Amino acid sequence: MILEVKNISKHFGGISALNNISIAVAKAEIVGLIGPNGAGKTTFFNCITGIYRPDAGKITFGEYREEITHFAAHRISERGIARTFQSARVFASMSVLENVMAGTFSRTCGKLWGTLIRSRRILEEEEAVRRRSEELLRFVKLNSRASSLASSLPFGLQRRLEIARALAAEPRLLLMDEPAAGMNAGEKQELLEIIRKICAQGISILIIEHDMKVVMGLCQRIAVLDSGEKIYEGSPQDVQSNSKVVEAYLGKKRDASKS
Amino acid sequence: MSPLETFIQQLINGLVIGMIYALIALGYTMVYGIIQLINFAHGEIFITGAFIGLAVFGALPGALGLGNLWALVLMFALAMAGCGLLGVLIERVAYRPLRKSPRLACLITAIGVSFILQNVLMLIWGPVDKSFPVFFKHSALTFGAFRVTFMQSFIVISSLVMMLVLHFFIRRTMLGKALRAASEDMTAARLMGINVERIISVCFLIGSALGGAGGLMYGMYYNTITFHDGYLAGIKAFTAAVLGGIGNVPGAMLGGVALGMMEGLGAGYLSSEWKNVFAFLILIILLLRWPSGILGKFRHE
Amino acid sequence: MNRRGIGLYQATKKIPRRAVNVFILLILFALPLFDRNQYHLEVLVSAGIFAILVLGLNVMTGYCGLLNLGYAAFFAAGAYTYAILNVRFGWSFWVSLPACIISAGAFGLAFGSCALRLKGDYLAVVTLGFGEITRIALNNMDSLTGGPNGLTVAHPALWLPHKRLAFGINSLPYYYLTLLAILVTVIIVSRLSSSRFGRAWIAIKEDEVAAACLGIHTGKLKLLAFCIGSALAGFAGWLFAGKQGFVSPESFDFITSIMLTAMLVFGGMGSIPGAIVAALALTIIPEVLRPLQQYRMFFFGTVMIVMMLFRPQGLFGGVRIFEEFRPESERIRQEEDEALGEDLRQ
Repeated sequence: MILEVKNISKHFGGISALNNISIAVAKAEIVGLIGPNGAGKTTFFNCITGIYRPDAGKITFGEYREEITHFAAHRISERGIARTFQSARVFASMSVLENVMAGTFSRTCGKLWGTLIRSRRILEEEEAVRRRSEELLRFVKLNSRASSLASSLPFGLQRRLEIARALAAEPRLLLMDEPAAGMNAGEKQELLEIIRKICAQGISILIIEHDMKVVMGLCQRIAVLDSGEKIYEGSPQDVQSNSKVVEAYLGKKRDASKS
Repeated sequence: MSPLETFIQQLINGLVIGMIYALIALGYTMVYGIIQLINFAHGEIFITGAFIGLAVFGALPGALGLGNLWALVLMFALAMAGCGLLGVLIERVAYRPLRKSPRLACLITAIGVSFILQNVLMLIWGPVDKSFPVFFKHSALTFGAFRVTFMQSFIVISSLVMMLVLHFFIRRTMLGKALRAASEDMTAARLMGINVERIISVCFLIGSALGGAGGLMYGMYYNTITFHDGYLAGIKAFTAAVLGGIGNVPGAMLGGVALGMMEGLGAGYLSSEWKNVFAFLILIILLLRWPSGILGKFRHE
Repeated sequence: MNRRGIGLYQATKKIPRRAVNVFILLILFALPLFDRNQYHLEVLVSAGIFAILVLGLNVMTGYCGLLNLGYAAFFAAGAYTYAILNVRFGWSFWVSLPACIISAGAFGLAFGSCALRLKGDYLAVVTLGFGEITRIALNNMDSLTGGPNGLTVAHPALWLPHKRLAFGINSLPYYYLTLLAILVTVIIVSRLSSSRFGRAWIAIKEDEVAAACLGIHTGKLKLLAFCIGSALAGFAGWLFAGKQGFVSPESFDFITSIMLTAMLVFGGMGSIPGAIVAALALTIIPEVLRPLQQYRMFFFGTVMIVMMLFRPQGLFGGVRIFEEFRPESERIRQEEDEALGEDLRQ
């Protein structure tokens, strides 16, 4: 297991956003995280990546099961967890290539002095970063847009840029928050391919997604959250037939139709 | 005077200047509460009040001389009206077009407005100190060893009255309720049919009018004003607003009085050269340690 | 930009950047050959010192998004370090340079490590307070700083073989010294801007959370930007003190800080040519309009307002706009998406 989350809880004021949730992800595994509205999926991601501090519980990461529960966000990223955001948060005023290059920050070690005198090591590192970033852009099929402004990309491409940027941080675990939202069928197909290729490189993936086709086609295991609690975990087939899950979703639908 | 008496006398002096700070702080806090802008120009609006008052006094016919109540009323009315309109005008011209812009853009604009106002004041009234006529000459109340001049009690009482009126306005009237709603959640208020732009104008009108009244009191109290007095008083009043929790109206009143007293004591016991450092230090320490102030952001139940 | 503007822009793009830079530099070096007017050179030297300051401010505000309204304090730190070292210890101009840069940088480090937990307008107000405290302290620590009377310091001198060349009050040597100093500053700033540090700074100003999630230690990098910006102010202060031969607190007041901010806003946040052109323009215009000297504050105030209303990205900006300067509505929408996004789907 590369990521083990044990019994984490998070409260906001009196509202319990996450309650006693445990999830584990193995190496090169794709785990799906689904659940109805407001189930706490993004909050869960925020807890893992250090944006929120969980109130209770324990998160360990890596072969040596290092505890990262209260690490700052940048240290968690250094350990090898990268993420994308629900609303593609690219650095709007940088070029597409620069965005990816910014992602390599924690994997480069150029010092200030070397930067100022432009030492050979710095130039070499910079060149390597550039090559690596271009490679990543080719990987997500964005290389033709390398020099355009990130904000000029359509939303779907910004999503892919975010994936490239996250990969630039050389993660061992990638958290993806609804990567397929707002994409058309063709784009979704491309995305699936990209995700499979990432996984083939030995990177584990934890993915929040609403599109069942994406989730079912991709994940080996699926966890279902509802109102901050994990109500079920199992294979895609089991999840579809499980009564609790169906109830959570159908119940929600009934509520929706009532209002 | 015994040390205790000195102490109390300093507290009284601090209370007076604190009331003036509180009046200015209200303008900062109301504007910040509704559009999250540190209105840097507010200090200049404040001192404009003093200049308007002075001009009105100069233009009065001889019969309405010193000590005449009507002269005083007229000065206050015109200073408050002038400053209120100035505030609304500034909001219209400089801040409203930036409503959708980021906050720091507004902040920079506000500093620009403050610079322009200072320059205009200097051009109209000159760069040198202007002396104010002395109101309520020789009249003081003595309680044992303490002296409270008539001017001091006038400042405390009239600012208390203004604050009570404001409090009543915010708590009891329809417009006040709309104002509270808008500062709580502007979008929701808009959806409820509140004309938010009008509320913002009202905020600037009231805040600037109170600031103008404060400026006039400041001039009468210190008997001399210059065009750049507004800057320092403005910063201090902003400190007061932060002290009371910015966006919090009763907090601004308390913060002003607290800051005035602290400064009064500081000036009494420390060297007066460092007096201004004192206010800035309080501001920095507050923002770093207790950014939500002593009362915190006002919450409505 | 209209169509012709774009055409023009693309035409200029074909000329290699380096050639343009060398050409501008040559003109600047040759300028005193054509114009020996002391007053003109004097104005250019002041403009040059402002250019260094704006470039330094650009590192903290333009790149990293930290609005500093007390930047003059760090300028003062450099100037007073040279003045005190010279007056009390007899250090020469050249020997004092590292001390000036280090003391201003250390000043920035010390202040930044307390203040940088704040953001946006609160940070701006704290820096303002800090700038004022520094000025009042300089005014009142008479035994060290000479109080409001200031300190008279030695002008620099060069020891050529067999000859001592004193700079004195002739503007020409200062012109070349300033030109050299700007050159060094531009090299430093542009190298930083295209390095991993520059990218990280812009990432922070654009989206601090996303930056942190990429492994960027936001606190440390903000402090670095603050520190480098302060050190550059110290550099400018050193030059200023040597050129003036005199330092007093009134050169480092709030108005100076705001003037620098106005220059930065005018040229465009994050733009190196913008910073230089703005410093030149906003120093030279008030000089040309000398008879209107008393409208100076009006002028700077108007520049700030007009830029914010009509061209917030500045003359040369446009590419790198930062989070604090991005429309509030957009940011709120983003946060809401983040929080409520789950409700929007299905």
